[in-house]
Order: sequence, then C-alpha cells, then structure tokens
Amino acid sequence: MAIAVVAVAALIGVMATDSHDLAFTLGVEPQGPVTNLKPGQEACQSPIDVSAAAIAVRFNADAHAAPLAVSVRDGGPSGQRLGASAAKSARQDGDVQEAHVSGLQPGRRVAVCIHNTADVPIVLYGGSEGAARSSSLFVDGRLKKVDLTLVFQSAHGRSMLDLLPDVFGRAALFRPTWVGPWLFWLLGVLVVAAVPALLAIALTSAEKEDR
Amino acid sequence: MLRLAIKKIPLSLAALLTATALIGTAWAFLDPPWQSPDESDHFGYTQVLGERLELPGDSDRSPFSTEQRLAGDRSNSDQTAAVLATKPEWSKQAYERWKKEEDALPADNRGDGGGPNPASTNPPLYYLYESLPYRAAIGGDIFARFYLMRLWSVALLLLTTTATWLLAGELFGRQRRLQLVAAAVAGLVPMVSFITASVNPDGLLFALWSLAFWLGARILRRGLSMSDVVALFAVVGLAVTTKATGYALLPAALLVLTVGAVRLRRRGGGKVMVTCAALAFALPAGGWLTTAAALDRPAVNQVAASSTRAAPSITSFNPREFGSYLWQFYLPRLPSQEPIEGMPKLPAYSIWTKQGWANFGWLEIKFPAPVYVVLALVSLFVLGAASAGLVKHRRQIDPALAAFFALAALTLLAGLHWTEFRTLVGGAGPFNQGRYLLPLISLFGALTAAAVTLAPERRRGLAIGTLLGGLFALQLFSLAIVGARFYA
Repeated sequence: MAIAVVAVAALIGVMATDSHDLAFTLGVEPQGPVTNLKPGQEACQSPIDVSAAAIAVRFNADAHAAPLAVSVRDGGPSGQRLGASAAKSARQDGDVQEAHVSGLQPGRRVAVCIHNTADVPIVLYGGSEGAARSSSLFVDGRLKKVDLTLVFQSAHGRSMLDLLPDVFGRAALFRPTWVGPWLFWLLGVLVVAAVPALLAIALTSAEKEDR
Repeated sequence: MLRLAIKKIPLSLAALLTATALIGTAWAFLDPPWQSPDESDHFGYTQVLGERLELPGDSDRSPFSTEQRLAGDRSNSDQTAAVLATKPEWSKQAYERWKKEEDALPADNRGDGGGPNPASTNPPLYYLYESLPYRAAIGGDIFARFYLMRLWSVALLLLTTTATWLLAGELFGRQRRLQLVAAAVAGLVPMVSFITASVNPDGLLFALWSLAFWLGARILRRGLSMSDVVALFAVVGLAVTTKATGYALLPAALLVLTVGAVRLRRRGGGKVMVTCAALAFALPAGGWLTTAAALDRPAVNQVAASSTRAAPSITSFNPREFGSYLWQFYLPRLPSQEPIEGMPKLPAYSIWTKQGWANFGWLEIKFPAPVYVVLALVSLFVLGAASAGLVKHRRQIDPALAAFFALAALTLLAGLHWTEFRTLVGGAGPFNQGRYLLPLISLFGALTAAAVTLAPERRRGLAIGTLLGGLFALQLFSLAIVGARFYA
C-alpha cells in the first residue's frame, strides 16, 4: 500500500511539474521539402480545425534572409484575415520557425498562410499527401499533394495536472456516444484509489486464507 | 447457482479480478481507436464476419470497409499510428462532422471491406468471439461497436488471471498468497493488460495458454480424467484456431496425455480417454482445417515474405547461421560472427524484455531507458530466484510437470525463432515482438511465486506487497505515458 501511495504521489508530482505548450498539431512530420516558394508566392494549409486556443504557429523552412509573412485566415469562402505576423529568419535549413499570430480560437476553421516576402525562393517542409487527411496545402490557390508541418503553441506552458480536463475531453472524442470526460475522471479515481485498495484487500485476505 | 459459484470465489481472487478488470477497462477506453499493433486489421476482420459472416482475404475488395476508412481518417488514427509527432483528432467540430458523415453512410458501407490485410489469413476463433459484441452493438456507430469489442476482450484478461491462479493452486497447493502472486503477475503486467484490452487475438491466446498450463498441470498432479483431458485438448484445439502459435502447445499436451495414459494404464483403462482427447482437439482444429481447405485459404497466419531472397527451409538452412542468429538474439555478438542484416541489437533485451513488459500504441510509446534496465533486472532476479527455488525443492518436483512446461515454452520459442530466422535471412526483416512471448505469462507468474517461496515466512507478506505495489506503479505510469502521448 505504501508503494501505491508513493507511486500516486510521484505521478502527481511529475504531472504538476512538467510543462506542455502544445495547443494542437496537424501531426505532419517534417519529412523533407514540400514546396519551393518563389518570391511573392503564398502557401496556405487549409482547412485547419482549431481545437484549442493558440497564440503561435511553428513550421520548418530553409534558412532565409528576410522574414516570412504568416497569416491566419478564415477557412470559409470569405478568407477574412484574422491575424498576421512575421516569422524570424531561420539560421539553418529545416529549422523550426515560429510566428505569433492571433485568430486561433477554438472552434474556428482557418487557413494558415506563409507569404514569401523575400527576393529568393524559400523551401518549406512537411510530409506527403494524406499526412494531414482533412487538410491540404495550396500554393497561390493551387492544390499541392503535400502537407505542411504546422504545430500550434498555447499561450503558456501548462502542467499535465492543469491539462487534465482538456486531456479527458480529447479522450472522450471518437468514443461511444454515451462516453464523456466524466468516464475518464471516474476511471482515473478508480485506478488511483480503488485498485491499490483492492490489491491490499487481496493480500490481507490471502494471508487470512493461508492461516 | 451463479450466486453459489461467485460465493465460492476466494476474496483474494475476487479482489484481484476486480482490480484487473478496472485496469483493463481503463486501458480499453484510454487508448484511442486502432492504436495498438494491427488493431485496424483485427477490427476489419471482425467486421466482415459480423456483417457478412464471411472471412476476409478477397483480393477484389478493399481491406477495410468504407465506414472504417472514414472513421480512421476522421479520427486521424492511421496517421497517428507509430508516429509520435502526430496526435489523434482533438477537434470537437471534426468529431461532429464525422458523426454526420457516418449517419449519412448507406448501411452496406459497413460490410464492403474484407480484402487482404496482414490479419486476414489468421484463423477465425478470436474474431468469432469478437463478432458477438460487434453484433450486440450493431445499432450503434462504429465506435460503439469497437469499444464494446475492447471491453469484451477485457473478459479474457480475467480468464488469464483466473487460469494462472488455478495453475499456481495446482503447483503450490492451496496457498493463496502464492496464487495471488502468480495471478497478479499474469493480470497486471502492463503489456498483457494493454494487448488484451485491445482488439487483438493475442489476448485470447494468453488466456488459452494459461488454461492449457493449468489443465496439463492438473492432469499430471491428479491423474488423467475424462473431463480434464477433454478440456485440455479442446483448449489446444481452440488455440490452434486462434493463431498458429497455438500449435506450439500440441507437443506438450501430447506429453501430458502420454504420461497420464501410462500412469493410468498401470491402473487399467485410458484408451477411451485418448480417443476423446483426439476428438476434443479435432472438433475445433479439424473443423477449421476442413473449412480452410474447402475455402482454399491458408489455415495458419502467413508471415510476410520478401520477393528478393529465398527464405531458408528446414532442408536448406545453414545450422551454423541459425546458431549464430540464436546467439546474437540472446547474447552480444562475438567479433568472429557476421552481423545478421535487419536484426536489432540484442533482441532478448530490446524485444523480449522491453516489448514484453511495456511498449504501447504501435510500440512507439516507451518509458525512459533506465526503466527497462530495472525491468530486465527484475526479470533476471525472478528467473534466478525461481531457479534457486526449483533446485531447492527438486525432489518434490514431478519431472513430467517440468518437462510439460519446458516443452511448451521451448516449442513456442523454437517456432518464433525459426520464423524470424527465415524472415531475416529471406530479407523480410525481423519478425518477433515482445507480446509473442506472453502466452507464457502464467508460467512467469508461477515462477515469480516460486521466487517468493525463497523469502522467509515473516518477510513473505512484505515481498508480496512490494510486488503488488510495483505492478500497480508500473500500470499507473504506463497509463499516464499513453495519456500524455495521445492527448497532451
């Protein structure tokens, strides 16, 4: 029982002290260059369902001298601009770059666009078509059969403990309709409290039965 | 009647089974859909059975139904599989859109899969078992059916745990603490929980192997009886119709039958039982072999082959090369040995130990490396202490019982190593996975109990408490790393 208490305390300790700043991700690994963006061209990954509030987007690009213009637009026909910013220059090819943008509110469907404002071509990284099944890359409006690597960051790092309501909310999606976050709270309590108690009962009753 | 049977269950076992069921349920719901090895293939197989009462493998069909492809696509499960950077779909809007799409699908979109997939050549028993919850939830959406299948699979975890409890009872007598140790190991090693709580025939295999070990031990301890021998061979027959791995039980079961018959003949009789044993085996196994032959399909799961190199056969292999492979599997390679292409470094550690204890998702979710060092040391300690215990009590050990366990374990290992040797030399890469060793989990549980007997009586409670606490801690952190990988 003491080990179980220590294990639960250790887990809570780890969950309280670690930090997660991932809001959500398209899940596309930067497998290699997916587009060579000429000066003046624009690459848009669309549509993207914003599942959690984010303040910045990260992507991978080759080294370049001028900053890239990054914008967030409404994913619908209006294409209204919701936020814009510039990404700092990369030092090395394939480096992760970050642009702080507004407009990434949960529930929105958006497009994330990268505009090459430099006077040289810029290579962007991503994965093959289907890496993000519900979203595609368009360059100057034309569909490319590839996906950009885009990772969205939340405003501040949150501990796993703080994230638990979100974690259980996410875990309740694509489950039977009667499943909600409540089930994961319940299972969490049962695993943390009832399982060690049951194991303690098993041991003490086994000792009694052996006597 | 049922109430009477439940009343007969010792409280220690009842408490352990409840804990195991809770852990299994947590695994079943926490792991996202199709995020365990080959789970999409196993679901696809069950769906064809559940919808059309047909076996998969028709090359004119898609491997998966339209409904499964849509759900896999919208939940992002295919992309998430084995790729740590990718997460399942977190968007509620995406879920709502999928729900509308699913509701709009014509009914025949559930049954239009059934093409070849890596699981489609498997024997059908597990899928028949899983088609029951599939049918029970037929009115629900795909995830209602899928998660009921997982929960139904958790029942197999209870069967594995109970069978191991019974096995320990045969081996150690009515010693509840030792039975508890053995059964807790079988039910609470995280990889056993994770795999059994997924849609995966290995869960049924763990249960059937555990039952076979119990029944074989029972026959050798108590003498051949009609009910036990029929049950043993029926279980072996069922194992054979679950996965080819089931055949590895056959030589050991035949040994039990031979020893049991010889011992019985001394008292007269035995022929009828041998005949009944053959029938009990033939009914499931023969039934499947006949069906497979009639349908012109393989009776055992087919291992992927390379088209570039010929795999060695039993008449054409190089024994020295096979010996080198075995050495390199279990021990560091000697300078004089040629490296075997495609073989991971020291698979006894990287495959048997790491994947046998705790590798989740599509095996991409791992603990930090030092955890596996500790688990390897624990495994070695258990094996060492159990060996010491067996040596100490060697005069009380029935050699036939030891031969039964050894034959089953060695036949399983021989089959796995021969298959992998063929795939490696044939250019198709490594074959073995840690879970392939887990049909032996009840033996490992019994060995752990044997190791506990070395502890002085006054310290035994502490040793068992430490073991149970350790298993709980491992489960807790296993669930936590899986939750963090998929949802944070």
